Amino acid sequence: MKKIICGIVIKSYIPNLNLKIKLTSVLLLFCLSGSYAINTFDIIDTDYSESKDLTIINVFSKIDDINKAEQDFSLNGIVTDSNGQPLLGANIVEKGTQNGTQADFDGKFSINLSNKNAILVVSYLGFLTEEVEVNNQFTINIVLKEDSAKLDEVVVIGYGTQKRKDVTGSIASIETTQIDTRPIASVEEAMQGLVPGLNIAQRASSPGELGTVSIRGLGSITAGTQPLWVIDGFPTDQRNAMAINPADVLSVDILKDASSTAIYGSRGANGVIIITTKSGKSGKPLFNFTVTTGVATAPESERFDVLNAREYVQFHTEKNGGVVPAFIADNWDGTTDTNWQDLIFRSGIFQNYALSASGGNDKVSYLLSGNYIDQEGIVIGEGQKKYSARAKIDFKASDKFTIGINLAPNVTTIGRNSERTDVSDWASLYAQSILMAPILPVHRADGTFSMNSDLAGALPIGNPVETSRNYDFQQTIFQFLGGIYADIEVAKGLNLRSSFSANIGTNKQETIYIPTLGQAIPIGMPAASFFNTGQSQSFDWLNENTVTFKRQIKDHSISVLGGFTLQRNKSESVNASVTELQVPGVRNVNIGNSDNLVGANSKSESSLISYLGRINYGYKDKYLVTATVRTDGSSVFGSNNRYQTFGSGALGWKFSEESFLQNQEFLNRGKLRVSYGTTGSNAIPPFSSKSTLNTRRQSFGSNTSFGVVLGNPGNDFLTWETSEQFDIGLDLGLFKNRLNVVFDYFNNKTKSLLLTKGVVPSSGYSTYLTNIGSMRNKGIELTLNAQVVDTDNWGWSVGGNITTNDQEILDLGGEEEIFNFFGALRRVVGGELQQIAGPRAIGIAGVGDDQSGQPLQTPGAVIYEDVDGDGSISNFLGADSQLLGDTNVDLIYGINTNVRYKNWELSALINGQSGAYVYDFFIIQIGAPFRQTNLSTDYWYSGRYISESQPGDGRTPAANGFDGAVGSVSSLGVQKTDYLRIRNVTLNYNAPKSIAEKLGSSSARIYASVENLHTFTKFVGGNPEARRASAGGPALIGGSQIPSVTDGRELGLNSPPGLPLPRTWTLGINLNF
Amino acid sequence: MKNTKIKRNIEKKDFSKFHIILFSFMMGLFLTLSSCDDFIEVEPSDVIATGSFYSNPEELAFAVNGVYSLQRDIYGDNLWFILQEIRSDNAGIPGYGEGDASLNYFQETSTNNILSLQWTRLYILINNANTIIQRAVDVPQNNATEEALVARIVGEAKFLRALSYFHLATSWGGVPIRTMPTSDFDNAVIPKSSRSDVFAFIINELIEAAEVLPTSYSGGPLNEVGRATKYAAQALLGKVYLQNGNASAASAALTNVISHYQLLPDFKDIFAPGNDNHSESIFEVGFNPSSQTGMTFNNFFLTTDIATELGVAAGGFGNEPIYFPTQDVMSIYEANDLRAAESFSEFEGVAYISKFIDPDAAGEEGSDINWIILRYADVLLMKAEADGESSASYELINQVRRRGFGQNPTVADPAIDINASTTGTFFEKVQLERRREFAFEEQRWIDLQRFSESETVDIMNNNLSTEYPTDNVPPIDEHNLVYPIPALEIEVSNNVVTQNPGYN
Repeated sequence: MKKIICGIVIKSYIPNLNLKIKLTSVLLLFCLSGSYAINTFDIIDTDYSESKDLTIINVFSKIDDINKAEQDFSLNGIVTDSNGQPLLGANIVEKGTQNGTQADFDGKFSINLSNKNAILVVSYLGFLTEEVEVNNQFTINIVLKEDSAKLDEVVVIGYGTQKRKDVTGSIASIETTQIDTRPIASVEEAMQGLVPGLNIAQRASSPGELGTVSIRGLGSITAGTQPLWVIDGFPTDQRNAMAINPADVLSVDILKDASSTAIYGSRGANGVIIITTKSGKSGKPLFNFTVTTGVATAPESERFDVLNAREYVQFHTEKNGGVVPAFIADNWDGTTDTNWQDLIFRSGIFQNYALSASGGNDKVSYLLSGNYIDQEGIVIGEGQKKYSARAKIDFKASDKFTIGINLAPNVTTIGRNSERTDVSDWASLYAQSILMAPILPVHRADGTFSMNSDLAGALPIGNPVETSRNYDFQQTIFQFLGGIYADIEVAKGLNLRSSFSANIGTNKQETIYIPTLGQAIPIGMPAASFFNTGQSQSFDWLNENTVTFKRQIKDHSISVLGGFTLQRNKSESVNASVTELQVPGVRNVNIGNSDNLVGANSKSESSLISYLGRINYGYKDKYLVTATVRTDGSSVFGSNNRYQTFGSGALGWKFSEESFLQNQEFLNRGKLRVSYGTTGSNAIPPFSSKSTLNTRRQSFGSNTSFGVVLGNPGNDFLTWETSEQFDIGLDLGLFKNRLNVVFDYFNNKTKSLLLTKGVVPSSGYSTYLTNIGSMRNKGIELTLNAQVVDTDNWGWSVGGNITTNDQEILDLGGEEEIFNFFGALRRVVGGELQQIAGPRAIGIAGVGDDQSGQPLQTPGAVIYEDVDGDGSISNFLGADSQLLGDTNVDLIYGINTNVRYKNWELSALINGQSGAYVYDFFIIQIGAPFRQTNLSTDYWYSGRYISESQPGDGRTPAANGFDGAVGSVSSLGVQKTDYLRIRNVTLNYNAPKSIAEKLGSSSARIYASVENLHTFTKFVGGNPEARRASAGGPALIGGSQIPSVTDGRELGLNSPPGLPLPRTWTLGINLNF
Repeated sequence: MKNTKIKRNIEKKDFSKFHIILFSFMMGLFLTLSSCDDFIEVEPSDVIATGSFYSNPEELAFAVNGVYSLQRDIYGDNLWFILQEIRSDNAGIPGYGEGDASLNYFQETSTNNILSLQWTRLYILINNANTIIQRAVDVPQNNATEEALVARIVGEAKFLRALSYFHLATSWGGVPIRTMPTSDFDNAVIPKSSRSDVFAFIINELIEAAEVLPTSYSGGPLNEVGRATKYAAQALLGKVYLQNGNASAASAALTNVISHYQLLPDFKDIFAPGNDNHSESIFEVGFNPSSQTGMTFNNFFLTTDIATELGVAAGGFGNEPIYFPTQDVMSIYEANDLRAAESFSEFEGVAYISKFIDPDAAGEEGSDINWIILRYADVLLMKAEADGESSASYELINQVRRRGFGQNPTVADPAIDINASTTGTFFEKVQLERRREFAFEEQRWIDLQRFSESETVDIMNNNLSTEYPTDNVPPIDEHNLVYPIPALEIEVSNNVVTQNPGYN
């Protein structure tokens, strides 16, 4: 048996390499001749100043000859995680000694022990440290459990990382283990409900559509409410984040308070989401292959429930005073009952294939990955295909110099065969399938397609089957995010890092519509055959240069960051469209009527220059201080206000480290955090501050000349919205860290809101953009995670998070109220961001009730509140209009649980929201009872007033009891959007090694998952998160109907209804080689 | 701790190399920038930044072209027609309610959208003209040609600005006089000047414009026929003097224009599609569908049926003309006056305005009819009005009449000619002839303003009660002769701009 040499300590400064070689040689000879083994070779240098003279002290401070060969004992073992993955580099130390080793690439280790009953202390970053009794065994398998408290978890904090335990800001993290078995095409789809403060609403559920993301509420009126997305250090947007292969994602960190976001200065006000991709680790090549396939359907329970033919006839007969109206008698054969939604919904196949290879040695580490996702929509013709690849290589040129490259190209193609479901009230397949009367057949007797206007007096709503054949939309998005970096350690703890990255994107779109020959053009569709083609390109580059310094000096730990960055964004687009295609189907603008050929192009450019700095200071690992500053200069603001400085300060106190809390079992970890700071928001169009000229045509006689006229007024003083953010937080680990609590209170005030302000019309302008007004979001976030049961065979954990948000407009630049969306929505000082306004329906008239002044005077008609008591009911602009609710989400929550039994694991995620209302213009305007369209069963049919003896639910008017003039913008259209959704249930099976090996892999995992299993809500019409933009609404305000709006997503409008969220069942397998 | 000082020292020489590489890498980009301020100074490239424009005569010319194009906004839709013809006794609008109908019945409020839109359009033109006039001072002029060009462009801008102010003064009375481009939005409010100050300003502007504008243009880029001429400025000056009650000055100004133009032989050719800048036209606003600048509002006069009958591609609007000729205006023409048939017609019992019909006008592209602001017949009749009753004045009126009856304007015709013995005062005779000649040409409302206020009020009250007998329109009084100042102007100015009497 060899003897062990422990703790070789070189305590000083050795002047040249030769000496070191000699020293090492001597050491090796010594080992060989004396049958010693070198156990640890730990070289520690002392302070430079102490070793001016080149003496060698204690080269061998201690040669621990453990004597007694007969007591020596060699043990072999393997260290794995609970999935059987080897834990490369796990530390194994014999308890009470300096004797230890590390596990190799395969998790294997060998150690010589002093006795057969030794106790091994096995530790690994992120795992609970285990003490294992050897008990005379010669081989031993050690399984480490993940540390649920994640004391050593590393979080990404912007231009660096930090240990979770030392963080003073409010940062939530999502690990991919929480989402990687879910049937998602991009990470953002899976984030809802996982962390507090983050709300990702699925506004449109067609494949390829972006969710709407907000952190701690909406903090701005005009300047954007989107958080900043940072991908591997590159500040960019959500579209780029969506493009990432979900399997490439290592972690997602959500920065929520000023302490953590101030480092992003003028872009941090709405929070920051940092996505970090995986890197290769040194070790033998590791191949990971995942395949997930499944099927998505539109759950019957979440579709927009409409009347069947019998109910439709019943309703319209009642509306017509008990007589079957002519448009039914003339068109219905008595049996036709078309379920139009069945004709457009389908089962969409979901497929995801991901393959990655990673590995490396002590010089180079690499990760190569490829991904293909094919996601069919639940509506015929909708779908997306995503192709992505990544190559990430880090090369350690020397001990101190590292360079790396990260290249990630990807292509997404998106297809549809109707107008986007979220932009057209009339022309999307979903809207058509809801509105078409069930008494109409798909085809008329002559074989042509029926339309709703076959019913005399009805609007020409298109037949969805026809639309799906005539309309085609294709989009191809190419994105390339790539970067190189170099990092050099110029002195101990002092690193310089420089990087250059670029984000290149092109987006190509084509739309073609060819109406059926001889058939009327459906409402909302182009008036004739139509072709549009457009392309846009963007090129953003970023250069970042940072210096970091980290040092631990006795009780003081200090970390300093300084940096200088440049970023430029450039984009341009060109677009051409033509109508009256002479050769149908040819996708070329020259095929149309050249008189109607319209082309346009646009260009945009902006740049940002920044200086940033941060200091993290810790004293005795108990008291923590963080200070951050960033100065941004941005081209988008007025020439007088280009630069602004943002900053934050934070304090942390790890009170559990105090001596008075040391000797107790209850509290293992406790930290109090307080932060305050300012961040900005610069999300306005790049040239808003510039006064510009528009070109115009002029005809002198028949000559065409060009001229210029004043356009955007500009504003030289335009500057950032500034958000002042206060956060106080408490992190607790209780009962041996089996219960973890994170609590935060936040209070964010946004000042100098970017709003347009009116000027006197005689100035030649009507409004200009300026900084006025302020608003506030405050609330609490609470996260609890409990490891209830944790034994070898059984485990059960429960976690939950809840966020409240209390929103208030503090100032609107002197105005008390700003009308938004023609006054149907209002911003009111003292209220939340967006309030719904209109007359309030207070009941349904019975026989003999006083209905004087009401818009309709029949039993079963709606009765509205006469606020001003003038004996008549005004529309939403008049005196009887009142605030009816607000569109802010007051509460969001998520609950997750995980049950483990041996190799089986069952997990579930539930999320929900409450407190927000929506103005549902589809239900009270488009699909209202005054048309011959089909309509909502729940809203208009089930509880309706029929007669004195059948008064219904007291809220739903009779078939003829709804008026358009007042009713179509009134409380009847206000819906509550509270819901609770079983977001995901996953069953996971970690195959035992024996099975995995039969599959030729080192580990195998099989899982079944269902996404969007069920939504519990009283919301009528599908997805309660849906907010729609409508491009083609009904009539004008005069008759009290609201015209169209270009984007209603954050307005709090719903029209047309959103598609149901697909319920997706998938099976997947993950193999490691 | 793998990084030892030992090694660090050993590699010290290499470090400097690393330093240089890294430092160059880091600074490479930085060095390419002359300064940080330049890096964040980004100018738009698909639109023109105002700051750097107006730097040479050619750019000034582009800018003044833009001002001409803004006239299309003012005259190219139905709003100005509502304020000038619907308001008068020449034309009406069906229905009784908000918006355009309220202007017909003198029931409009200061929040009326048409009023505020047209007010805004006139001032947008003024702000653009102000910008040219102010920036021209700093434009380098390297030779006599450039000097003349800059002077001419300033003259054009002043002419166009004066025309807008004339519309403002005849519609609203006293208004804010703005002569500088708006730049400081926090101090953008200017109070009203009196009506007479506005007129004095306009007169001064037109005198200056007339001095620098050429009598004609040779054609070609920057010299297109259709730009404002010296005669246009003098004709407008005459109109302004006349409106302001200075007959002798009006006559003097108009005399300068006499004999430089001639009446077209055929009245119907005046507004014929494509007949641009003809010999009777002194100043007109260009519209041309093939340049995407077609005029669209004239088809408001047609119903779908009438459009079909006439073969107008645009197709008309609905079953009832949106704007119709009054019974009164249709009754003023004598037999054989060809102008009646060229001004209005009837189809299946529905009377409609037929003066401006382009059969080839298609929906969005509009019609190829230029909108004439000043024509020679107007100069002749204004001159007669300014000079007062005399045989020479009757001759001027009779020239216009003879053409209207299809005769040679210069050959006396006792069957057509009027004289001192014709019934009515001379002023009434001039105005009657003007109404016949210029029906629906947006002249009538300002012509009515040259009657005494009480006469105008009587004419309009008579018109309202006879044309709309069942609507019980309340009678008007003197305050109705100017429009209410748009409420937005008053609100945003915090009442620095005051409302006209009789409105709130």
